Amino acid sequence: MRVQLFGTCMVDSFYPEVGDATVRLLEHFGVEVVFPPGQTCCGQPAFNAGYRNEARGAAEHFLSIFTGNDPIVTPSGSCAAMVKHHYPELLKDDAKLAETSRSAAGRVYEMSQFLVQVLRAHEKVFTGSGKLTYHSSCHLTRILGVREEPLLLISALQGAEFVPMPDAMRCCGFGGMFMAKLPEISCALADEKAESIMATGADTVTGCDSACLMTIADGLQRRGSGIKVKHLVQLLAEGL
Amino acid sequence: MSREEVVAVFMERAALAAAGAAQVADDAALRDAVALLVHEGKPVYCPALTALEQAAVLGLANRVENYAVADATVEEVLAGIAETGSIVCASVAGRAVQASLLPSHHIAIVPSWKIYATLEEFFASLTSPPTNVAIITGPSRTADIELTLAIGVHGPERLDIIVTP
Amino acid sequence: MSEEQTSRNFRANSAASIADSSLRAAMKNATDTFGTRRTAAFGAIPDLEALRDKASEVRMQVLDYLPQYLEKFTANATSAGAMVHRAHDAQSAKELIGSILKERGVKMAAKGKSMVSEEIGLNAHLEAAGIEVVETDLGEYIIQLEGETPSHIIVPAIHKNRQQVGRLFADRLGVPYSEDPQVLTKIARKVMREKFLAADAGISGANFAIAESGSLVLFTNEGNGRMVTSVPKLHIAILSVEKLLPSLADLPTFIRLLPRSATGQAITSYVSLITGTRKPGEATGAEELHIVLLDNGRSEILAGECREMLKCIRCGACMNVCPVYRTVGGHAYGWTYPGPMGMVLTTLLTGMEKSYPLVDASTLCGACVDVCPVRIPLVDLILKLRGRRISEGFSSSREKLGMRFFGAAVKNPVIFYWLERVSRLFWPVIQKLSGKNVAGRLPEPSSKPFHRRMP
Repeated sequence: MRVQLFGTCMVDSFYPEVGDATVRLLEHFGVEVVFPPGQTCCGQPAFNAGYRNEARGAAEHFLSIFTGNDPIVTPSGSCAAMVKHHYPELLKDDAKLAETSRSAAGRVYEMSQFLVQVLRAHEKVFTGSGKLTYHSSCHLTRILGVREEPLLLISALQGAEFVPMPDAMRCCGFGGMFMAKLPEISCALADEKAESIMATGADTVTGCDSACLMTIADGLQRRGSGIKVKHLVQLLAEGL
Repeated sequence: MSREEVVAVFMERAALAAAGAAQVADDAALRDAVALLVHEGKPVYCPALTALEQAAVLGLANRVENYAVADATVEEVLAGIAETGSIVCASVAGRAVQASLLPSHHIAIVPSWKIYATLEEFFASLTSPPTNVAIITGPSRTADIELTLAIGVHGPERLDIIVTP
Repeated sequence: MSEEQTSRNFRANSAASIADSSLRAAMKNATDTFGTRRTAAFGAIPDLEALRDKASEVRMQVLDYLPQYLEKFTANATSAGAMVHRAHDAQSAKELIGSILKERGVKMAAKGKSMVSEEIGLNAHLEAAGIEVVETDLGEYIIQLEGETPSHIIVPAIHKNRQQVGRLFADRLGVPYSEDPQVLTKIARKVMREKFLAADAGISGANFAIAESGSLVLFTNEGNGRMVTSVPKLHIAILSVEKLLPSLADLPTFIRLLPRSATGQAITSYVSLITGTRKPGEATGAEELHIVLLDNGRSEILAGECREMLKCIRCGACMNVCPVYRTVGGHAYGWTYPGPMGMVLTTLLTGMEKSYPLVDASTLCGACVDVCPVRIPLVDLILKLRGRRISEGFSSSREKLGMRFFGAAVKNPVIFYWLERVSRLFWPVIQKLSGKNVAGRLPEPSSKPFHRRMP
């Protein structure tokens, strides 16, 4: 089986190790990973700020890069949601791209979705350790409806003790441009999230969206906490 | 649902809303139940329009004509709704719905056959609504201060429901 | 509400709220409690999604045929004895109500809670005309004593803790200090009872108006709503035009949804149905009933792309789960309506010029969409408003320029990757310029971006 990997701009610049882990994981399961060159960004930053033309441009570019019929896999819930739910709506009036956007929407997967639904990876055993808690990213959960898959994968981490976080589904405070426009509120939310994480006694917090994990890492650091922040694909790749 | 089941659900839901709920078998039991509920020496208002109302306050002392000065109102109500544990008062037959609002204690008598199972059934019966209809569930309450529940605000501080056959 | 709208200061308002520790504590306590209660209340409902679908359908139906339903309501309410008035805007509504009260020599009016009366600033107008207005809802009474505006549409004094209320009552009413909510409530019962009985008129809102029967529906808990609508001889009700339901048969759906969504109750203590004036032979009912149907911009909204906002039944569920509202409280939004429904409705009703910072007040987390009983697509509406802000010229030119660059870069990998490299090289400068609360929260860009690790 072959997939096309969408790294995401966040992973590309700030968390390339998440990209590395994604490739390692997929290849371990015998998946051929193609990385279409020239990929940039799904366009969320523009879309969420109301700049539809710029978002449309990003979508057009994405669709020109991710062609064919292979599944598109991405280690980001919000990016998968952008492609799946917003691309068809953004391009519904475009004679050329309406169909293409629907096709891409139909074959895009967030990583934990792909691992569980297609690869049944949660039935395998991974090595884990320590006490682990999990942040439910907003777009992943509410738009993509991915609630169980990350938890199933976490339970496959033998040796790791999972502690649920209070208010796991409450927003971390990133919100794209929100964190730049209303940093006071964003920091307050990140701080509350840090408090929830620290209350679990966990030594590691994980999630499926690098933007959230970045916000969480900063929130924990401001509290002087040494709790580690790792993307779920990293934990799984390390546990192979 | 059978009548017994409707009454059972009604009483359970009424109690959950902090209303007292009791069932009596006959007029004598009704009178005794009311006598126990009213506070010693405090004025009681009863419209005494129906046979049940008259039976309920038979021999009761301290009856007043004006509900505005009563401590308790004893009255037969228009209906009950099992789904929510509510009683319904309405401005029919010259009744003053304020009688269920101003006094501190409301004692509502509802015959079991007047209890509707659901809200739909109740509203279906209301073809031409009287001027004032009040669907009442429990005593008055508020959570305006720190979301802490306080029972007894501007309306009655206590609601007791007596279900008759 | 007579205070000026301060929505343009949303960011500064928010910063002040965040620094207010007693406000933060009050908001956390309140929103946590709402969450628990709502979950428990809906746990007992097996068909919640079907109920929400139905409620959304009914509300949409009303909006699609609003003129007809308004006509029907007016005819039926009138034949039941009410006088129905249409007020195009805030000023005409205030003047109408003021003149009705003045003509009848009203000195004091007892008022039940009405958000729409806050929207138009009714109290200040009446007071300027020499009419005393007493807020009888406990939460509204508290903020009236304090000289504040409501910070939540269901629990107006939610931003206050018991100590603050205790001190307020002790100072303003001369009663001994107590912070026990039970004691404070009994004090309010006593004070208000005198007012109810002495009032020359009652002013209320309405949760719904039923077209088929011409009835007003009020969901209340305290009993003050019943008092002001049945004790004084004159009753004036004000509600906005979209608050209609077709028939009584539609009420059960909303009785099942509204109290649970608002406070986690299965039903409010009182659901009142008021149909016209006192008829011959009746002992309850106002002798004179005026129903003021307020437009104040709703017709325009109805004709636009954000019309679904008018489905709103004012339950407050959205603000109860909103992470932003939780953090900054209601006053930060600067107008009558806070939280998710507030940021959308305020922008639609007062215009982009007065409200534009509000459209940023969301992380688009979607928690509100999860709980709205009538399925208002709040996130979509916020996105639409963000687009509108740009086209109406209220976006910063720096942001527009930045987005244009982004738009170009995102289509051109060479530029995109070059920008990545440049950002990394100038990272310390970028961090300094944007501040520790923005770029300072991002890690340093990698020296080997992911795309260069892949064949």
